[in-house]
Amino acid sequence: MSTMNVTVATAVELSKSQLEALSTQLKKKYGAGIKIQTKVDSSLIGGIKVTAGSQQLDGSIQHKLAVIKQQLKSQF
Amino acid sequence: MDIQLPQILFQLVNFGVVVGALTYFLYRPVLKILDERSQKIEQAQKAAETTLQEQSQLEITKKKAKSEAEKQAAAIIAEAKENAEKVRKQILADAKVEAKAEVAKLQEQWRSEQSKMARNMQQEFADAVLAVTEKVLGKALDKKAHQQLIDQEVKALLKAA
Repeated sequence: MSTMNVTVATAVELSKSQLEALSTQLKKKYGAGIKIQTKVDSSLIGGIKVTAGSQQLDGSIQHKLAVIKQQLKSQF
Repeated sequence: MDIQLPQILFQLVNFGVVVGALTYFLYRPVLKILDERSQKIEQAQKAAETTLQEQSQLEITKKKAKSEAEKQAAAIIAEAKENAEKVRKQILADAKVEAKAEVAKLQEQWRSEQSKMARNMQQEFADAVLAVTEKVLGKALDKKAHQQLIDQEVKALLKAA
């Protein structure tokens, strides 16, 4: 059974409880054999970005602003 | 004094001869000369009359030709004026059409420029708003707010996935 690397990026460091809860949820989703790696990235501004293999779940404010920006561009 | 008949007869014959000679040698030629002269004068008169008639005819022809030439000149001038007017109107109409097209083109160009400027301004405004939002959010979020935001996003992401 291969190990899946899951990167969790946030603008500030995750609390212990948050990390535990997130680990439980991710294991439910991707299986028990995942290896979670945390990363602090202030450019995200806020929220969280999870990268699991080729899949990316982006709930960062940076991403939301980028989406808004794209929408505004397409409107103009 | 005696009347001598032979002398009288001689005188009469002599007179007759003189009259005859005068008639033959003088009167007839003079008459002939007068006739010829009269004929010449008559011919000259006729020639003069003919010349006068010809002159009169020539004058009439000249007047007619002049009148005809004036009419033709007037017709040519009128035609030229008409043509010039037509050309003037055509040039004016063409210029109006050209000017209208140019105005429409410039208006379209102006609208396009305006629209482009408005789009650029909106884009720049949106970029500025987003940049400010990014900065404000970066500074405004405290640790607690970050944690709440992370919890919220984790729930949303996992639910959506």
